[in-house]
Amino acid sequence: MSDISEYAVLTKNLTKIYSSGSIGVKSLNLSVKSGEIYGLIGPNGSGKTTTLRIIATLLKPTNGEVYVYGVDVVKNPLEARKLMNYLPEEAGAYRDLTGLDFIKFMLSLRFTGRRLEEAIGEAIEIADLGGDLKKPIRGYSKGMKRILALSTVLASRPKLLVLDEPTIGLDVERSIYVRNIIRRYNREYGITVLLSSHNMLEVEYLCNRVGILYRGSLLIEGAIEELKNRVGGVNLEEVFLKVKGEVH
Amino acid sequence: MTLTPLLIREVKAFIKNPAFILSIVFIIGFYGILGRLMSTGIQTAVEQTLNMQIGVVLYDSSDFAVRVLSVANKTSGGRLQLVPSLEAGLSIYDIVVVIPSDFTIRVMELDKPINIESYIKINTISPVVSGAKTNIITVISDLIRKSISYVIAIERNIDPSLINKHVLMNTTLQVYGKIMKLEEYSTISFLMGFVPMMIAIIMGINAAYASQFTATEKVEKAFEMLLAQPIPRRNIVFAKIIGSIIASLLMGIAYFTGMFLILLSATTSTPNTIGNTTGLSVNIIEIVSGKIGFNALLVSIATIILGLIYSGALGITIGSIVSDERIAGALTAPIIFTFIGIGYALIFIGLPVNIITGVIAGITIAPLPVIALVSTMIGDFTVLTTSLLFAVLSTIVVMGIAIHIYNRDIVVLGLRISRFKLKERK
Repeated sequence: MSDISEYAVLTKNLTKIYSSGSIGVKSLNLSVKSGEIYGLIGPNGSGKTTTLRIIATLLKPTNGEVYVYGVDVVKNPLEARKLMNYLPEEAGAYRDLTGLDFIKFMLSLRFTGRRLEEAIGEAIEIADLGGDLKKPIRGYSKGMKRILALSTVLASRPKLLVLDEPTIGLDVERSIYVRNIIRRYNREYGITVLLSSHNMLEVEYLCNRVGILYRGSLLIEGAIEELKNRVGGVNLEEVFLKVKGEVH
Repeated sequence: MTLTPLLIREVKAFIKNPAFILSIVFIIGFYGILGRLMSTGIQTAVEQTLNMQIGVVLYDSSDFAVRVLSVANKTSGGRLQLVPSLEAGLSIYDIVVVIPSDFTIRVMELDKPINIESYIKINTISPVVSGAKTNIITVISDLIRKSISYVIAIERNIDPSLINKHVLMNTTLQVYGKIMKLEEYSTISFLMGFVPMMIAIIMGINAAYASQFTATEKVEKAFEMLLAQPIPRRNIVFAKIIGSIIASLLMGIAYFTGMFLILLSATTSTPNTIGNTTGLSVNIIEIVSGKIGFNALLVSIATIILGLIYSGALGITIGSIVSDERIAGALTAPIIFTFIGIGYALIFIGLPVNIITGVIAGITIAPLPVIALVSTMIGDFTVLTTSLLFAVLSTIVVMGIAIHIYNRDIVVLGLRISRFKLKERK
């Protein structure tokens, strides 16, 4: 039990087979250490979102075990959710609410009283939307909605942050802003981050360790420099292509 | 023409939506079965009523009265049966006509109308059966009037069409043992059809609201964030049910306020003599309190509350398993039509009120007020208790299903109905 709780995320033979018969992930053994930023990379359909959804307790695995700080996410999902927060791919917000109301709503599900006020203030600062926060979300751009959703997730300061493609659809400036803020929260508050991305540059910039998923299986995992040396690639893209090539 | 591709796109959006196709198939199938059941029930009821024997109490033993009755009996095909008293008649037949002792005297006096008392026993909630029985009274009244003219014409050797005596039929109904006037029964019959129908519509609208709200939340992409929060999923379901109930209640309050104002001022005057009204007025509120009792009213209110929870949970279940608003929208129509169909079916099929129909009413909820009304009138609450028990149970079950679904993958992945898969299975 003490081994399990050492890791922010630990999966053992995690398998997800959908009702259609398609395989989401296959015997996945993944370990994310506390305090690190871990990047899951892989092409579309490789199982990144499936893995993150299972960890975030949105999907149930067909087989295997998943622990978040030692808590079994299948047996005790509510306790696991208290330890983490999740930003889905293409996360949006309620169109009829204002940005400020959305922040208040999402954070009120976790906090009350003074802690809630503090979290709201923090989210407003992160979102940095100025006067637009008092306008209905239906008028927001995709980038504004993404930042708004991210602000509530970060301001909740969970022990584990699960981010599915955090910068997808964002322009260059906003992408850089999001990467910097993720990094800041990881360093300042010791928040463990597990993220998925298509953007290898982003992963190289942000992550301490990465895992390459392909067709539901983890091909390789380790620190970025270690992987480059092990495989002989100049960057992560080359590492990915070489590892994938070895499979074929 | 830019309209053509736009139109094709719009039509294709519906036709290629599996939920839309399934909805059409479901509506046709459901109403087909319902129609057949109702048709069979109505046909059986009408046939039984048309072949019904009628008891006649003859207090006027004059030769004239006997001859009139004999003519009337022959004309009706022998359906009139002499009985010694009203009580004896009602224990055998559903309709009893009482020929008074002054019948012949009144016939012979030109300025006096002929008053005949008639009694109808109604132990069904089917408006078709009760309507047919009350129509029989009109037929009997006309038959006696014509028989009087015929007998007088024979006696005096004159043309029967020259004789026109007015027969005034004063009808009393024994509805599930409760004595009431025809106009009072008309009001109760209206309520028996109207209240379940209204509850069914409210339930349908509520289910539609709930499914639309839930599907919209999924489309807004905030749903997964919400599911990842440290709150029990059942709380999300409860909040959604209560939310849809509030929305439906606001709509319902506005509607019922209007309806209540109509009921308060609703009076019906019934002509008892030709060209002259008796001034008898029927107030629905008085009838509800006097003949039905406010127990039935309370049950109706409880039914609305249960119905809203039930339909809210059902709508949330549907909204949570569909992938978008379009599919939820396509499923809205069958939800509403199913509730309306159920609301009507039990009444028009003409089933008796017993434990089995009580269970059906409990499971489908909308017909509960009818069960309450009948139970109150007969003074036996066994069926009503069973109905309410099943209504509460079915509501809990539907809520349980909604909570169960919220804890399954389907709430995130959505129900996928693909034509490809259907073909593959063939």
